[in-house]
Amino acid sequence: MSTMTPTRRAPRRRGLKRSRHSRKPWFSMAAMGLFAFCGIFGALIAPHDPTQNDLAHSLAPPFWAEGGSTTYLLGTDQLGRDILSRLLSGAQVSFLVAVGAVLIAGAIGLGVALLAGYTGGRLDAFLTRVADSAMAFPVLLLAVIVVALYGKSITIVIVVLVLAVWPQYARVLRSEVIRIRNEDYVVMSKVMGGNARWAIVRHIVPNVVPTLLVLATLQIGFAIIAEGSLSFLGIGVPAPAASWGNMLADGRNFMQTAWWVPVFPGIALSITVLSANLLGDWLRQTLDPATRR
Amino acid sequence: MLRYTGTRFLQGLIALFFIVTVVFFLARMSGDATALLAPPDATPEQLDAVRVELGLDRPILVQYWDYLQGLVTGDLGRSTSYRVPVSDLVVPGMQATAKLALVAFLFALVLGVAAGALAAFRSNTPTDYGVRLMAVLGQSIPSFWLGMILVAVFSVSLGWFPAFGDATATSIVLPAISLAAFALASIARLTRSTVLEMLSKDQTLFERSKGVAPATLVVHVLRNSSLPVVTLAGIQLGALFSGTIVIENLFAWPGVGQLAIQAINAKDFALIQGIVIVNTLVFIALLFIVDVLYGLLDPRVRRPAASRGKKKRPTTTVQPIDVMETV
Amino acid sequence: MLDVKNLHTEYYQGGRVAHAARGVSIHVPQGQAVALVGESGSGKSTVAQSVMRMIRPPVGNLREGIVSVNGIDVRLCTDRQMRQVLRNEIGFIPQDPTTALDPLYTIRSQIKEVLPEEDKRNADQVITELLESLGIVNAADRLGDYPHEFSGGMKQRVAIAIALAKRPSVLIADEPTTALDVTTQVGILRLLDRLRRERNLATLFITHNIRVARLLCQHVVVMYGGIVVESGPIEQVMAAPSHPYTRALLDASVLGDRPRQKLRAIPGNPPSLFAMPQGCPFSPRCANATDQCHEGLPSEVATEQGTRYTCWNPVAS
Repeated sequence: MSTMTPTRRAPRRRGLKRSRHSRKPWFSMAAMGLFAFCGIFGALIAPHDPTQNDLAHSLAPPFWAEGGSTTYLLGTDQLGRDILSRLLSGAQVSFLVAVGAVLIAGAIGLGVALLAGYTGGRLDAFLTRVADSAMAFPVLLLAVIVVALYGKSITIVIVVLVLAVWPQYARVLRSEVIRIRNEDYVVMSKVMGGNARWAIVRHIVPNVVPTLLVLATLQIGFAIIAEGSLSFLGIGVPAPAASWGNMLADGRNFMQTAWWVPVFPGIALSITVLSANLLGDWLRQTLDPATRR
Repeated sequence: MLRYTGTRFLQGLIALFFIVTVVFFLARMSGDATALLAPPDATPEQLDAVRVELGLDRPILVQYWDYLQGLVTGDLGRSTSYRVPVSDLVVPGMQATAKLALVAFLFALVLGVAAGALAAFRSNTPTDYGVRLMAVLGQSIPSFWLGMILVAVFSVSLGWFPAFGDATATSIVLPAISLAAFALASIARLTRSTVLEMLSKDQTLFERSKGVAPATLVVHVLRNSSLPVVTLAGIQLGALFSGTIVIENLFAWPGVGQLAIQAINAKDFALIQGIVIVNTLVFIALLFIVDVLYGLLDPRVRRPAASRGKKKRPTTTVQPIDVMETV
Repeated sequence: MLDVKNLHTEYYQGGRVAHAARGVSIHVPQGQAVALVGESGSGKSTVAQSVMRMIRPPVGNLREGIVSVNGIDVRLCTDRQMRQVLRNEIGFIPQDPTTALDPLYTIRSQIKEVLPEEDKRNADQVITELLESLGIVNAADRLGDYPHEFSGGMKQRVAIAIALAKRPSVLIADEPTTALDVTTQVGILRLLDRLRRERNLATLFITHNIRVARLLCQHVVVMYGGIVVESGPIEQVMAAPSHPYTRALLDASVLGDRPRQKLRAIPGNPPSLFAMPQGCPFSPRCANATDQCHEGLPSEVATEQGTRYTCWNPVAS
């Protein structure tokens, strides 16, 4: 321990222990819970068909505003589609894209990290190099190429995000793997004749789980924004399917005349991303894995 | 230092070559462009004529070689939808994009470093809380939604700035702010955490034990904190260059981003190829500048200790920083 | 001259208060070296930090006592006055020069920062002479070098140069050899001893190894759990320790002079700063402890040999 440090550093926290720095982010947890619920059951609770046009009721305001009715709780857009139902449908898109991309990229990243970090040597150098180059490449540019070549679909959005996100996992997890690999108890288990697979399963994987969890949570916010951007540009989820991004694109000319068309998806998007980020930050502080450094 | 820079430069060229090759072959494999260009009722003879005119009847390697030769001389091919050389579209587009991206970048860098450093030096005060709150919000609000809000408030309601185009000098204000918000927030966060960590290091304590003026201490701390921030700033600048796609679309800014969307919708592969290559070139140039800057800032990179046997140079362009700040 | 009287220093952490120093008194006359000995967490570094006023709210505070550096009570100094004291009176040698020197600045500029005005005119010459007197060969050629281009021992000499360039009257060395190779350690210790004599420095030498302290110190102060448990001339304390902790410390640092001799560790761990025992802090680990020891602290006792100790049941020696 350095004797020059005046603040006595608290012992490294591992596991979900209470930290005095951060109270539990109840708001974020609740918002993420709601997001997950809508993401899974959105279609079941939607009062209307999100793609059903009803030009007779186009641009109906929300129920509390003048001229609004409880038929369309949050009003309708220019084609008379129910905003609430579209929001719920958009939540499903965001949820599917975010969870799908984060899980697949996490699996790839973890695999690469274990391979690179545990094997070391040239393979490690090569994989690190690939991950660095891939990470440095901007997502939107990547999306332009992929969409130009393979067209628009929800699957393509997920593929783009996986391509963009996996190197982050690989980079962070690799350094974690190397750190854990060199810890005494793992070295001991090797010295005592344990095999590599045992070390990976028994020691390394459980120890990178907190880091993985933090990364995944923080990536959810990123994935939701990226999907929104692509859909906003018209190269993400194709119309008429509802995504918060293309709802905003549809509503961009109605900020003054029919504010509810762009404002609700805008708020849904911001709050979901904010909650994911706050939750991720909190997890990062609480679990204190390598991402803090 | 010279050798270091040279190696970096060479690596950049190789990366560029790699991207060009991948994009070229992917584009050629994705289908025959002839059908798109010829009239819908064209006869097989007419199709062949178009194919010969475009040079698509030759072996793919010959086409590839031609394309590479063209690139060296600045010829990016012809846009099939605009029917003009791609460079005539991409060059002015890139100028507009670069203007927007650089203005946004300067704004994000100056304000981000200032806010982050201030928050760290005043940690756990209202200033700090304010900066942290703004940073979390800045990282959470999508740029296009922020842009829409800004337009509604500052353009439509207040009438201070134009809502679209690049006709006047103030046209750039709203798009630049919308574009910069995320980078600004990321830079502020990283600066804050880096300075805070630096303040608790032995190095800073030793500097304080010298009894130097507070200004000297601040310079030492900031200079040491600049290393990870430079790395992040480079990545963010690259992200700004491609992030303009969304903002250009929202604000009708005449850059390559708008061009890219039009090219996708028109299936204009030559144009897409040109845009991707120019963007990649800019991006690699930025990473190169960051590397050189890093060498200038850090004597350990510039003059690796001779006694340490194997020379340890960073093998990657991305220096160890909090990866989470880069998303 | 450094004179610490009845120093109480606290750290604040999450609403709790840690009493890191509880009534510590140390006197370091000019030209003499005093060793401050103790384990990690004994409060020895806290004393050094307190003298330099490195502990300030919200991290902690010097709650009580007098810390006099050449007659100036640092507890009463304004920030500006404190910088003057640090600049003119106190030279500080860090534990690990690798983490203490700024990697981005040449050693010339790091030393130049602390030079007095009259030395700044011919700074290069002054710095070169100083470095060569500290055993750095060809110093003139190395002024433009960066810390990472020096070895550990040489880095520590640069750090010592920074401490001495201000021509201080007090030198504080915080375990200055623990981060170095064993072979370099002796060189640095000899150097410090020579500098004390030549420059008539009041030296406070912080260490966990009482036998190392003997190489350059005339007096010793042994700390445990934030209090001074024993103090006095180093020869007398080592020859006849009164406090059981001093005894244990001496036993623990014996290098086996016979083969297969058992190393003697002190059972148990030092108390947490947040959960200090009510009585003598060493009582939970002490073989001689009685009920009295657990209940309260005795007052200091002076011996005929000139040592002082704080113990109810001193060891007979």
